[in-house]
This record gives sequence, C-alpha cells and structure tokens, in this order.
Amino acid sequence: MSNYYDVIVIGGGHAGIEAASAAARIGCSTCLITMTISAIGRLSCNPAIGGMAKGQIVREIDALGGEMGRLADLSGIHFKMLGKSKGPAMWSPRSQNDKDLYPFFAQKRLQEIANLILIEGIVDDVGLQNGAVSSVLLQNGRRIECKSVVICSGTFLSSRLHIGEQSKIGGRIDEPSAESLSETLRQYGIATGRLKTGTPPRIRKDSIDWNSCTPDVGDANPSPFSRETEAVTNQIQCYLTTTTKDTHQILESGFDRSPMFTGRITGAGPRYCPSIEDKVYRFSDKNGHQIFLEPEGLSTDSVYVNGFSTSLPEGIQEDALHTIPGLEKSQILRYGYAVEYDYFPSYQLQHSLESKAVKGLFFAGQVNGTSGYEEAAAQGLIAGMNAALGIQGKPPIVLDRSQAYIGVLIDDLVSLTINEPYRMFTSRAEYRLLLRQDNADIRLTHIGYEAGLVDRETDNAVQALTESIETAQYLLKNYRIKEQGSNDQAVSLWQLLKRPESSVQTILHHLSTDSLLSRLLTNERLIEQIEIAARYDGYIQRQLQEVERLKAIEESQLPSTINYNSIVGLSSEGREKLTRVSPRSLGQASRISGVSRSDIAILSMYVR
Amino acid sequence: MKDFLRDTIVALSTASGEAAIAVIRFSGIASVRIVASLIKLRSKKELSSIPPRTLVNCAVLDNGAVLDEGLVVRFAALASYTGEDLVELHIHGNPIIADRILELSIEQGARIATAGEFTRRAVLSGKMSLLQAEAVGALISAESRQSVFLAHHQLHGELSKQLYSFREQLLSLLARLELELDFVEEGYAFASEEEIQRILSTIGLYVEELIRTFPTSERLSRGPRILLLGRPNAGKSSLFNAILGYSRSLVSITPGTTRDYLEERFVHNGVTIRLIDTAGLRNASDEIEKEGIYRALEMVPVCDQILYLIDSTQAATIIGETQFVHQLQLQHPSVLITSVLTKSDLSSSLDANHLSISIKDLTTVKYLLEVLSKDYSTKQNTSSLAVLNIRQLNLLKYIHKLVCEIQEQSGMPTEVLSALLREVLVPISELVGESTSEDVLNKVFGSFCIGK
Repeated sequence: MSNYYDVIVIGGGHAGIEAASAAARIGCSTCLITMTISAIGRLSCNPAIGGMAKGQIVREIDALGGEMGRLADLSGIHFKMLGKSKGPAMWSPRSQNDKDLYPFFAQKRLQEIANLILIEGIVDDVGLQNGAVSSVLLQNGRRIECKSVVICSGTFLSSRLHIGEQSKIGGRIDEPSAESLSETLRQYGIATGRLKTGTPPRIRKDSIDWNSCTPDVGDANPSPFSRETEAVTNQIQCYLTTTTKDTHQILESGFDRSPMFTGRITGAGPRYCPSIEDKVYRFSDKNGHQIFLEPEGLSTDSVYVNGFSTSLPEGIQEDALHTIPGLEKSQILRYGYAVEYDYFPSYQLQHSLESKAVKGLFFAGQVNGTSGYEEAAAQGLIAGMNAALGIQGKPPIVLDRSQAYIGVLIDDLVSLTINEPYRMFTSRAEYRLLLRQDNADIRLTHIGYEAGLVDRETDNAVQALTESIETAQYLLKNYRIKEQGSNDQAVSLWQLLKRPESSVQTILHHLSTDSLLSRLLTNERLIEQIEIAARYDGYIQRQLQEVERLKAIEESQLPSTINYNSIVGLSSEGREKLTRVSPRSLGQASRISGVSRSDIAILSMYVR
Repeated sequence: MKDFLRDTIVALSTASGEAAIAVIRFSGIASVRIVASLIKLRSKKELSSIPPRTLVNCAVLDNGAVLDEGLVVRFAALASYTGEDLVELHIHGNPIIADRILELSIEQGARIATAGEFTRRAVLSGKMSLLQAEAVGALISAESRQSVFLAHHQLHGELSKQLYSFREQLLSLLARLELELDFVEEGYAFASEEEIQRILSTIGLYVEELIRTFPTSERLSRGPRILLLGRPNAGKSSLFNAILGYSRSLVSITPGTTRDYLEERFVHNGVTIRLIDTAGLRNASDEIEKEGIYRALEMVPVCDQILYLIDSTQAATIIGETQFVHQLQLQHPSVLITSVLTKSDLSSSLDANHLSISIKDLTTVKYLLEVLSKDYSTKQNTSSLAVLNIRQLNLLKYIHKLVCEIQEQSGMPTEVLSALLREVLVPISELVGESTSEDVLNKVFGSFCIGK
C-alpha cells in the first residue's frame, strides 16, 4: 500500500465523491479516506437530487464533467421539472432517488476510476511543512504523505445528535464523529463555528392510507440530468398531504422539550429548510404546512416525510404525525433528529476553495457552512479540480457569477458572513436569465474540457451546437417575409418567433425544406435554445450589458497585501470585514455586508 | 494619489476679491496643527485647548510679524461639515492677505482643495447623501429666493427621503417576488399584480412630475432669460437701459446700432432675470450686422420669453409685425412671445390687445416688469419641485423609461419582472448615492466652487 498520494480527500459524501473523482481523472494519484466505504454517497437527508436552483447546479456539475448528474439518473425513480409555471430560467429538474441505489452507483463509479484508492479511517491530524500541507495522520497511527488535502467531512466534525431531551455523539444515526480534526485545524489559525441541521422521521410505506393523500406524478417525458444519459423513467408516485391544527397543537406542547427551544443546540439552523416546530412557531397564523411523502426506494419500506424535519421527543413526533391525513396509523421506522457540527466559516477560503492560511488545504461541502447535496457536490468538484490543477502547476478554475450558479455559490461563500446553513436560491443569481438548466453545457463544457474532465468529442459537439445556434439566430433575424393582410409589411422570422403564441413549429412553413435554416431547425436542442432566446430576447441582452458594465469593477484587483487599517476614512465595520474577507476585486468588496458605499468609494480611489 | 484622503486641505471659502471678511477653511487630520502654527490666540492659549465651535480672537503671523487680526473657530472630527477636523480662519477680505495665508498653509503641509472637495469629504464620511451634496451646490448657485428655498428643502433630504422610500418599496416587492419564485412549487403568491402596478405608477407619476417641472426648477435656479427682439429702432436698447436703470448699451437713433447681443441680470421681486438686448431684425447688408441678426434669432429657442417690440409710431408696419410674431410663435411653440408696443407717448394708434410702454413714462416700464416677474415668482407648487441637475434629470428619465416599459407589458413572466425591477433599483440607488461609481462622484464634485 502506497504511503504517498498527490491528493487526499477526507470524506465520502457528495463533496468527497466529486473531489476524489475530479482530482484522479485530471491525473493526480488520489486517496479518499472515509469512515465507512459502504456509506459513500449516502443520501442522509431526503432521497432526492435537484430542485429549484439546485437542479441548475446538477446540470452545471454534469457540464463540467462531474458525477452527480449521472448518479442521479442511474438511481432516479421519479423525475419532475419544477418551476414549469414560470419561464425557462426557473425550470429546475428534480429527481426522487432510490436511497440504496445512489450509494451503490457512487461506490461502483469511484472504484472504476484509475488513480483513485478508497481507504477506511478517521483523520485526526493534517501535517504541515513550510506552511503547506504535507501529510495526514489517521486515528490508527498511519501517516500518509500528500501534496493537497480536500476536507469534505460534512457534519462529522465534533458532531452531536439530538432527539428530544436526549443527545449523543455522532455525525449520523449510528455513525461516529471525528473529534480531533477541527481542533488540529484551529491550532493552524483556522476558525470554526457551530451549525445545526435536521431530518424528518421515516415511516412504513404500508402503514400509510394513500387514498387520503394527493398524488404527485412525475413528468410524462422525464428528462435526465446528464448529457450522457439517454433516457430515464418514472417508477413510483409521490404523494402530498398537509399538517392540521391538531398537529400544530401537539407540536407546541413539546416546545419546552425541543433541543432548539431549550437552547441545548447552540448552532444556528437553516432558515430556509426549517424544522416543523420552527414553521409552526414562526408562521403561527398558518393552519397547515405541506408534507411530501417520498418513497426512499424501490426495495425499501421506508417513506421520507418531507417537510416534517424535527428533533422533538419521540412520543410527540408520533402523536403529531398521527393527526395528519393519511398518516393516522403510520408507523415510524426512524425518528427525526437534529445534528450539530463544526464548520469552517468560508471567508477563510480563496475563490479556488483553497485555505488562505494553509497552502494545499481545500475545504468543500457542509464543512463550509452550506446545506444540500448539490451545493456540496459543486464545491467538491471545484476543490478537487483546483487541488489537482495546483499540483500540475496550472491556474485554478474560478467561475464568475455571470457564468454559473457554482460561481455565485462560491463567491457568496467567500464574501458573505454565513450565520446559518447556506442554501442556493435562484434569487441569489443576479444573472438568473443567463444561468439556466437548459444551457449549462453551452456555458461550461469547454471549461470542463480544458481542465481534463470532459472528452474532446463532447466538447466539439457542444461547440458545434453553440455555433449552429448563433447561425440560426442570425438567419432568423435576417430572413424577412411579408405577412398576409398586414399592409405588406416585412417582418423577420425572429419577430414572428417572439410573439407569445409562436414556436419554431409555427414558422417552419415560411422556409423551403432544403434551406440551411430548415436543416438547422431539426435539432431539438437548437430549437429549444432558439425558442428560449426569442422568449427572453431583449432581457438576455440587458443582462449581458449589465455583466459588461460591471466588468471594470469586477476586474479591478485588490491586492491581498492591502493593510485596510492604514486606509484613512474606512468605516470601522468596513475595515474589519475587508480585513477578514480580503476581497480579490472591488466588485467582491461591494458585496460584503458591512462594507458601505463610501468604503467602496475610498477603496476605488486608493487602488486607482 | 494613495494618500488623497490623508491630506489636509485648505481653501478660501468666500468669494475672492476685496470684501469686509474672508473665510479660509482647513479640513483634515493636520488642520489644527497647521492653523496653530500660523496664529497666536489673544488669550495666549493653544488652539487645541479651545472648545470646538467657539470663536476666539487671534493674530495671523507671517514670520513673526502680524499679517492680520481675525477670528478662529475649530470643529472636531465627526461633528464638522466634512466629518474631519475642520478649522475656519475669519480674516479681513483682502486678497493679498488671503493669498499669503494660503501660501503659509501650504508651507505647513496643507494642500489647496480641489473643486467641491470639502463636500466630497462630507459625502465620503457619511455626513450627507449625494443628493444633499448636490443641493449644497444648488444652494450656492441659486439665483432666486424660491430656488434657495428648494435647495434647502432638498438639503434636508426631502427628495432623498422620497427616493429611499421607493427603494424600500421596490426591495420589499422584489423580496416577495423572489420568495414566490424560489418556492414556486408551494404555489405562494406574495405580491399581487395590483400592488405591483400601484407601486410602479406611484414611482412613475412622481418621477414624471419631477421631469415635467425640470424646466421650471432649472429656470428658477438660473433665472429666466428674456430676449428683446424687434425691428431696428423699435426701442429695444432704450427699454433695456430703462429697465437696468443705467446706460448699458449704446443707444442712438441710427437704426442698427446694437450689432451683437448684450446680456444683463437684474433682480426684481426676488427673481433674477437675464435680459438680452439684440440686433434689430431687417434685411441687413452689413456682414457684422447680419451676424448679429443671425445670433438674435438663434437665441430664441433657448430663452424663456421673448418681448417683441413694435414701434407704435410706424402704424403701417404693425399688421406685418403682428404676423411675423405669429410666425415666430408657430416656429417656437415652447417659447412665450409677447408683443409690446413702444413709444406710446408719441402714438395715437394703440390697441388694447398689446402691452404698450414708453420709456418716457416710467410707470409703463414698471408695469411691464410687474407682469414679467409675476410669471416667474407666482406660487409654483414647490413641494413637487426639486433642484435638479442634468445628472439627476437623466437618471430620472431612465427610471421613467424603465417604469413605463414594465407597465406597458402585462403578463410578463415573474423572473423577467424581477430582473426589470432590479434594473429600476440601479438608477434610484445611484440618485440617492447608494451605489455610485467614482466617475459619478467626480462629475458631481467637479462643478463645485473650490471652497465648498
């Protein structure tokens, strides 16, 4: 067994999978260290991938050559495009996944990758040499040398589980906690904080009265996440129900025994994915909250009660569930619980996800204060890529906010002060109309190719598609026809296409079948892109202009050597935040909360 | 440039030239030290030991000799106009003394302030908003009592307050639209079409009113421009002189004496009026005179009012002249053109449809002035007016354009509506100075006089 790897990835969750796969496939010898190999890729919370804003991220991961899209397709049992009531920028693919199949395919995939070794163990210590990572020390005393370490340890650092008034050590039910690693990193000057997250109870499938619930059917023609997947099929149905006033009364009776309300959990919880007790407490005027009943797989009896995340005492969980239509006789297989864990406030990272303090040390996933498999996977991919590229002496990959949700995610992480688990929303992306699930490959495939994660053939195909979209748009804008009955006024096909009731189908008859345009308009992807561009025409242009307008401030570099304390006129809060974040550009500085516009004006004079 | 804001700046804050008093202002970290090195307090105390905001007697020294005697006052950082340590030296208004003090200050390490730098520092230190700063500029250059009032209004943040409120309303609307988008599967609807339209139309109407009253507020701040026009010898220069009360332009009975135009200001009923005398209109043969006539006509569209003078003693020309005025009015519908019959003392052919005057009879001239100044000082609805500059006007027009665009398109997808509302926020934020690039700041402060 080798005692040296270029890159060591700690943790086998969604961040760890991407980091290990990316580093190894870029060409670095890579070792993934996990507590339990059979737990790699476990869906510890809901058995679903994607959703609003997250589905876009999965598409981006796929475009860059990451794993999540393929794994979700392979293990998916129910597919639905969310946001269809809004325009294409809001469409977000989501899948229900078999909770056994997802880890199965993840482990299978990682074992197939040359250059990648999986090891079971707990890392206690990261060794440094001249301020750079040089090794890790396992709990069993084994030391492995390396050049880079990517920490993807999720909720497993100094973690505590809470159910009602009981609490115990552990990162997931029946799994241990890594108690030493965050202490080691604190000694290197890396700050830590506490966060919490929760998960709902799982109940027995055959104890549910399905007739009292509303079915939630998947799409008729489900579309896969990955370009590589030809087709996916729906194999199950999900169901909806809602909580009642009685449910809320029972939950309230347990507030005094909830670890959150009694203050035993000190970590901040997610505002956006709140526990049911949080929802009842904060939206006391609402008489019912939606509950999604999601089967956890094809070969399991377990159903995930989505929307009912709780850490109340077991008896209360049971009584409350029994007041929900359809769940009157439900049997609980596993009670809901909360987990509290150490995280590393992410202002300590560069945009490459490398630590500012320790060279070669990367952080990705929930350890950076995020929530969600997709957010974790995206960071794992970028951290793994950059760890490998760094070793190869290449510049890191940093995506812009105008390029990808992943760019928004990482820029937010390194700029904002995260007080609660960070979850992606479409509203966080100011260039939302540009960052769509349908054009992720057009935006990002070439970057994946240059990094070494996407093959040449795929890259060529996407480039060819991009070019033919441009050609078709040009031709449509310049092909004029005379409309019947409208005073012989000539309009372009593009103008026709922009009308609300139009589609490519309705304008095709204007063209001879052997024209270049007709031939281009047989490609489904091209038709989709053309129709969306026509629908958002003007608005897309405006967003592109905005990107251009802000380019100067985004490109205006702030050297990391600036001593903000020496600049007269900065507000004291601005000075503190600027020193802490050390933004790379004026644009980033302007997004740091607490940095005022006059701070920015002073800075811009300073760097001029 | 890196220590730009560290510098202590100095400038003569009062008008240059001879006056009873001149005020020299210092701002920056070294201002107390620099001034202390230039003066000796009569009380023999140190300047730094004098409580802020207290005027004390002092002598200004030039290499040990007394250069002048005056008063000095200091303001402490945070509680001063600029937000920095600030000192004012009140001396006799002799340019030689003032210049020498500036020289001595520079020797002590001060730097002459750039245009508007005091106010610029006030904005950078958060003492005032950009809009308020612009109002300071407007206050200084205001040319009517009313525009002084308006500038005060704005200085105290009326326009800022209104725009901030719009900004808040838009932000709240956006936040709710975003919730709706991000939780689209839950089917929430937090913002009704009605509410969106209501907020947009409130903003639209307010902005439209500001844009509409821009010419008025602009005229108020610079003073209306009144052009005297007419055939040669119609009495333009005589009236010009009568109004100004002294012989400003050369008057003679030879037609065509005023070959170029002359502009003078006078104040009547609190309004500064700019009166412009022009070359008489005729088929001139002389090149210089032709040029003068050309220039006179060129002035028409940029003036607020034309007084077209008609010689009442030339009865035969009156009908033709009236037709000419009619033509001119058709060509320039936005300019108010008033016909005035002159030399009423010499004529019997007056009609009641025209104002008539005689410079021999001062009551007729006074009456004309009353009529003129009334137009410019009558109670405008000042609450809807603001002192605007071109930068602000352009931003307002942009806001108006965006708001109209959104209002015109109903049934736009929520994600597009959200993107457009974000766009409206940009110029509003820029107006209140919440997000201004260095360029904007430079533009705003470049037009200030130095000492402010």
